Amino acid sequence: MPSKEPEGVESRLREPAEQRFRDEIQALAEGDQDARPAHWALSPRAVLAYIVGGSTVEARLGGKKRSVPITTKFYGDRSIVERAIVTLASERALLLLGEPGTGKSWLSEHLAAAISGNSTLTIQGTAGTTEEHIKYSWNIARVIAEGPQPSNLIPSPTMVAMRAGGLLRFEELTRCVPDVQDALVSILSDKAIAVPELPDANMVWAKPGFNVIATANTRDQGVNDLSAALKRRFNYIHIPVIRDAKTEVQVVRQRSAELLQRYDLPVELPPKIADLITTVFREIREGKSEDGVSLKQPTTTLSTAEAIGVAVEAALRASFFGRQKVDGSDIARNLLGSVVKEDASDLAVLREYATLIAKKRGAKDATWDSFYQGLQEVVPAK
Amino acid sequence: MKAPGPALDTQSVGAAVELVLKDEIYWFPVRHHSPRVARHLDSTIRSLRPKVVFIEGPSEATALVPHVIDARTRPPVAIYSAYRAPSPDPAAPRTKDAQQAVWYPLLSYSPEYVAMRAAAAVRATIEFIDLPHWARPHGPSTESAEEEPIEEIAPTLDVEGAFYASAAAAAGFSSWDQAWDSLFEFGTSLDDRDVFRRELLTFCAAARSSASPERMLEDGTVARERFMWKSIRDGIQRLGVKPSDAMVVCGGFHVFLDRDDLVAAPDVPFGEVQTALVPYSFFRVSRLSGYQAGNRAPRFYERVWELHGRDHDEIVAQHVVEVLKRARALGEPASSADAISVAQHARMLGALRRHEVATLDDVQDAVITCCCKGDPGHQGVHLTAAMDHVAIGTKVGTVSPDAGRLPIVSDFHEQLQALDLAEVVDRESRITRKVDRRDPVGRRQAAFLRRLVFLEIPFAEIATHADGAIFTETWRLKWNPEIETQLADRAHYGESLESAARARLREDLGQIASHAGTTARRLREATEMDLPDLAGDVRRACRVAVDADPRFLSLAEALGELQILRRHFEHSFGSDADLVSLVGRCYDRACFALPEAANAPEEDHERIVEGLRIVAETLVDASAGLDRDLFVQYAGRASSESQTPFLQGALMGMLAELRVVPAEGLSVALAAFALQPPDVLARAGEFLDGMLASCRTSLLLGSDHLTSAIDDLLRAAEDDAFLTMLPRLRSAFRRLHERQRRTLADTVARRLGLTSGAEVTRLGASSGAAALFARIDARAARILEEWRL
Repeated sequence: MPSKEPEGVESRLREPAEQRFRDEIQALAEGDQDARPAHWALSPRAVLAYIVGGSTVEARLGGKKRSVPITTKFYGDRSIVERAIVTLASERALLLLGEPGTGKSWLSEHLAAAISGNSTLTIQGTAGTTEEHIKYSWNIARVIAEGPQPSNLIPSPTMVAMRAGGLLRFEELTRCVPDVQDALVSILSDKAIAVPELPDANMVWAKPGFNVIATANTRDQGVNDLSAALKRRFNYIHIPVIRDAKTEVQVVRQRSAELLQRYDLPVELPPKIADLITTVFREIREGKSEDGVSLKQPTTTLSTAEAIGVAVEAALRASFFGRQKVDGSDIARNLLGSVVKEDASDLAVLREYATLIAKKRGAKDATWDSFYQGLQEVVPAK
Repeated sequence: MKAPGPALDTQSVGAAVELVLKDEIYWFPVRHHSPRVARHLDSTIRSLRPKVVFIEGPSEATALVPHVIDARTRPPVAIYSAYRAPSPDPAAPRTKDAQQAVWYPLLSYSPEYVAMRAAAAVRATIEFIDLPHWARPHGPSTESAEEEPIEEIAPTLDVEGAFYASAAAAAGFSSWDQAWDSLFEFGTSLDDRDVFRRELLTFCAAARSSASPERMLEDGTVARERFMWKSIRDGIQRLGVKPSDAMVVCGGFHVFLDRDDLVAAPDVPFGEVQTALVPYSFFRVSRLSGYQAGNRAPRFYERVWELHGRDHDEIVAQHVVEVLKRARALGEPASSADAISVAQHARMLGALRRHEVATLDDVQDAVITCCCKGDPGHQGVHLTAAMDHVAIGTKVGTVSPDAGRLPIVSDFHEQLQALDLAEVVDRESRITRKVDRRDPVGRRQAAFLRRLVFLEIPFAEIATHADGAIFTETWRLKWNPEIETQLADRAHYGESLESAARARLREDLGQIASHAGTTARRLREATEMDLPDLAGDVRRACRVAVDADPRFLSLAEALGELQILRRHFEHSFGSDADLVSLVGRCYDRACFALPEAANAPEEDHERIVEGLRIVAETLVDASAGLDRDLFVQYAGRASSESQTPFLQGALMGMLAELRVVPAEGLSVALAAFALQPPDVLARAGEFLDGMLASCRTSLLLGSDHLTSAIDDLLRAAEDDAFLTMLPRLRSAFRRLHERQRRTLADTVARRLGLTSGAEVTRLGASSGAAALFARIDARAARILEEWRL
């Protein structure tokens, strides 16, 4: 498959959104007549059009007039995106909250790409994240040699975003310990970082347009909850798990196809397999089958992102080790790692599902039968 | 989104609008409960000063207009209109067509109410022109026979709905309410009343052009319009005014009625008609109460009406502050800074959505965004409750004393006085009353309160129903002004509570004639409501229903009700031979019906177990004098004929509970599953579930046998069979009380040699890990033994 990279750009496994969707952003910018907040690459309405997709924009790109289809980046309630965009144009920062795999980071990346043209100013929150990661650090060797000077200061992504009036992405904020999280309080209220080591240049002020998009996992809630002071500075937007079966199938199909294209794989995910994956994930997640049978629920979250992962891994397997065609057994073999993650007793969930649901459906449907046979192989006997 | 329909013929829409604009009669299109429409309408009437204003209201209630516009009447109020067809037999139950009632709610900003006030101010004659509700064709009914009949609230047009929904979706709105607010209700672009009228007429003409003529005929729209047009023409002639002195205020859809339709307007059937003006409440007007033509946020739009002329931001600010105040009262930490953020966010959201100003949807989204720190479905419940509370409001209207009361409302107040319960209304607080039915006043009080409960008037609820307390009841009573509205809602049943209860009971009997269980319940209720004249009829109906009803569930329910009644009669008046005979007959029928129930679908299983329990309890009641062998014979037959392990287990369990079969026999039947093929073995869980559903005590007395049988099953079951039976095994053991589970666990412990009663440690790890520890432990023990340690 031909590479989509422009000439002279070295091939990369994954480009940031502003590169991958450069044409879409440029096309929207070209026809964007609405007012833009300071330092925003697009107006709020154009950002909305970029995220929800579904339209086609006429634009002159590379000297040629073209129709550019705007792809859907976010499925689900449009008002979630509207509220997120408005928050980023306001005084408050944005915290996207939800179960793992609901597309928080995905939405955050696209918002940053469309609003500030840069989605790479990112801090990954972990238990080891320190205040220096959030504010700034020093080139120690040069400080020893020359003392603290502005040129010896290593700016954090926050500081870079503040200076450019851009967006900072803070992933998994609640993985950071509270003391470190609170470093954000002054940044979000004063819109500045104090550098006391530089008496002549002891404040770095944010330019208009600066804001923060954080993400947090509901599974981490209660571990490192945000302080009341920090909570007040964030608008929380909850991203729900996709409940609508049709939409979930659509997401799995589209995202799997994109990823398979990235891996340059000659296999496709048949619609029946996409249906099967989403059905299995939804039924196990909800603890109930479509026909009302109660099921055990695992300790893990079976998100749509996990379903996409299973689909792609199954395609990889079919491509490299299988018959070049994804079938139910490929899905079964790759399902184990998604369901059984933290607790070995989650194996029982799969065993129960195999016996109560997959077996019965397999008697009438070949795809389900191959899925059931695959499960029989991968779920170890007691 | 729906697929687009045929393209709109904009030329004919434009032509239709021009015709209306040029008409001599001045037509003003309205949307129910819209402050913007009301404002423009008020100014139009005051400036044009028509001599007559025809309003789309119930023509049978024009006489109430003076009371509606009386300064002492304060909305929300409603015009109530009830109809009873003449009947040769007043005692016979009435059909839906024979008895109907309708409400026309009016808010202070309802265009119709505002039109009446403005018309009165310019001394114009006011006439309602709508076809009486009982004369309208019903259209294709989607209601089932069991549904509550006789209530329809406010005129709505089905034909409009589809167009509005698809128009809103096509324009990118999530609902028609949102579309209306941003297109018509708010903003300055439609401040000019003529521009507004033209825009609204154009929209309505488009809706009209997309409606199917057949559907309009079917749902009564055409009949109503024929009547309205006739009323307008007749009115102009009767009053001797020129058409240019007349104004018509009606739904925008009807403005385009066919003025050349030669078909005569429908006749209005003769009958007893009762109309009244009654207090109403914001809640009842809100859509949350189920009123589909309602207003989703009566209080919010009232604020919009009251603060007209002020900056829209002030309306938003007042609303937001009130929502956050309410949220704080519910325990939500919301500050003034939050209120500022919400107002700003709402403005920005509105701008993003191309709304000229922030609409209610923008404000509500902003409240959730800025104040809910998590999932709105969990962390946002208080905020959502606060938003609903403030948007809907709690206002209850008052009606001018000159308007009088409906007889049923007067009867209610008179009885409160007579029965020494008036303090509930005076104090407007919840009070608790003990009622002793041995005392004559207590008996009348109990009957009065039971009648209210039966009529679903939320004035009284029984607080305690202690077993054995046959004569005393504790009631919780609470008055609120809306109760008058709900009483009026029942006015079509009768003029007093007693007659209304009687009429409703008769109506119910007509609908449930062949259902023994419901008929028996009505018999109990008739007795409790002190309707002795009716009790005889209901008893006859019950006897017929018991004989005709072959369903075990219904008969078992009837048996339960009749037993309660029999005991009551026995304590109050001595044995009632007729009732005893009815109990016996019902018991016999229930036994006969058992084999039919033995293969009932799964959704009925739990109710069958409950029915078995009722029959068994009736049987052990020595005073009932019933034939034990009959139950044993039919339960045994049902058990052997049943193909459903759950019901087999339940029936055998019940026989064991009655000591007909020994408990060990049950365990043997359970253990027999171990010898069956895997697909039958897998259903042993269902059998055990049924057994424990009907028989616990007897079974646990023989718990050794039970654990032994379960042991046999678990040994015989392969993994698949075990997994299949697992959910039902879980369900079976969940039926046991904690103490019963302990008894069973002790038996298991004894079987496993844990005789010292050692504490069982709760597993902190998975069962797989625990099994591994146990194996390591056993291996360590063997090594220690080898080493003689």
